[in-house]
Amino acid sequence: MTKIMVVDDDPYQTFTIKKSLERIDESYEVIRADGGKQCLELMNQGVIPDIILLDVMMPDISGWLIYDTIRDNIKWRDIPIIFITARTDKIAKGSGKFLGEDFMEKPFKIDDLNDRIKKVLKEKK
Amino acid sequence: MIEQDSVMDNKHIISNLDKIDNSSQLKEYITYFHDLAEHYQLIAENTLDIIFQTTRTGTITYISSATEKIAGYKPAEMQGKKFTKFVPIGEIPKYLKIIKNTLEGKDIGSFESFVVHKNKELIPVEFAGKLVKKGNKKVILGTIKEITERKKAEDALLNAHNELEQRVKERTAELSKINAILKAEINEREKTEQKLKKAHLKLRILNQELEKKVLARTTQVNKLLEQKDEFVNQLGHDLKNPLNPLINLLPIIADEVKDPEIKEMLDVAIINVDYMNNLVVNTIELARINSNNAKFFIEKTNLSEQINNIIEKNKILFDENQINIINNVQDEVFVNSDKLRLQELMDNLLINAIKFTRKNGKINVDSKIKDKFVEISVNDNGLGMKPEQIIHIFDEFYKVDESRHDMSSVGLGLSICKRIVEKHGGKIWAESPGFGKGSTIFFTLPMD
Repeated sequence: MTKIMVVDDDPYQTFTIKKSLERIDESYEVIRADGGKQCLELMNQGVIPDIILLDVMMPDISGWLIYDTIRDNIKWRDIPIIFITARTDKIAKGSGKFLGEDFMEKPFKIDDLNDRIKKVLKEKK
Repeated sequence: MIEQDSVMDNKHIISNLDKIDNSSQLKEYITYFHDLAEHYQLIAENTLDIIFQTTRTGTITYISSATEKIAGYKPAEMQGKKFTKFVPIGEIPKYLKIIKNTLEGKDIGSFESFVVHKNKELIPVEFAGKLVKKGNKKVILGTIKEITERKKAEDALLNAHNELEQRVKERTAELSKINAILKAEINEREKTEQKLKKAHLKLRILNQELEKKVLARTTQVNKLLEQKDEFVNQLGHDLKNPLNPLINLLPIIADEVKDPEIKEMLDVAIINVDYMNNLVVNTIELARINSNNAKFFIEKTNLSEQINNIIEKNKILFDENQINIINNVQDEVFVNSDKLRLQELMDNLLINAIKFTRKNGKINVDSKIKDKFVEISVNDNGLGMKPEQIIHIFDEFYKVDESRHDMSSVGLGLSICKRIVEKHGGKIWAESPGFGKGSTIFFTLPMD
């Protein structure tokens, strides 16, 4: 099983990604975190995913901060992260810091997201 | 016997007169002098000049016959008359003075004057005269020479001189006139120049003011444009998020639905959601490229290689539509481009070419070096365009299908292409020999 955590303050996004990804590949288990806060809570409870799909602009805790927190944690720092955002201009501005990280621009076709997940996981191995 | 060597040499004869002691000797002398007098008379009468003799008071006692030719009078008409009767009234004081001088024993030499011809004409003459002894009286003996020809020549010379002087005067006057005109013209010109300078200065000040205004306006417009970009980006974000569930969930549901009527309804929904997705994505893309903040990562790009990569990436599309695409771009041609933008540009052009080319169509990509640019062309043998369509194809939201029911295009692809090319400093344009005859899109990119 591949554990995928999808973090977005919009529950419709997390719902959509969970439903469609799990339909494409039965080996996926998608964990929904409806916001930055819930993401950190879940991970602190020991829910450690193989890959994180992270929205950038969230009202409670921003994607940038979640990113920093994960990268600063010895146990979590090797988890691959794919940013998912509708505002690629913001990604472009932060790209100095997140250089080398992948990102998906919303809206995307689930097949494209799946290809990206497979590519990133393959690179990690 | 008297030696008569010369008629002019009588002095020794006269000195010998005292020595006469008989009548035969006297007779001989008288004959001699008589002959001599005849000789002189002959000379006097045959000379062209007038020879004359007057008393001390100017009464003519003798005048030679040349007078008839010069003054028109016979000698007899003049003899016994005052000389002053035959000179112009204006010249009389001059004559009187000369006579007076002569009587005082002064040498009068020669002088120029006039005599009045019988026909009243004035004849220019030169006088010469001397007071001489005649027995115990003194008389004036002289010559008058007609100098009409000489006078004429002198007059002609004088006239010529005067005429020349007149001409010089005229010419000088003409020159000074021209000079004055020139001076006036120069003045006028200087004035005009002054005016021009003033006008220039005014214009410059106006220009500066205008530039300031333009700058202020530009700043204002740029600010508004930035606000617009931010607005479009924000709107885009808000539109894109809700599209994600629609795009991904609707096809899953459609797969599960068995009822053909419901399935058809879902298909219509999916087509429209896809269209809306394209519209949002392209609008945001155009706004992003238009934005002053849009960063282009320009690097040295191997054109042929890059185009091959793009063709390879779209291979499925060409295969599906059975389209033969040929990359004729020369090897080792390098352009300065943002590789991702170049891909976006070529994707748009190739998708357009596929869309308007029937199955088994042909697409050719060529390149030509022109000065410091590479001109790239994408040619297809598809539908082609009418001239009135060519003008508009780069306009935003323009669609060749005028009914606007074409769901496969939102009418922004070529607008995006235009902005990408322009941001690279190049140009883009379209050509088509006519509807049904294929079309070519040309664009230029700066060479490395």
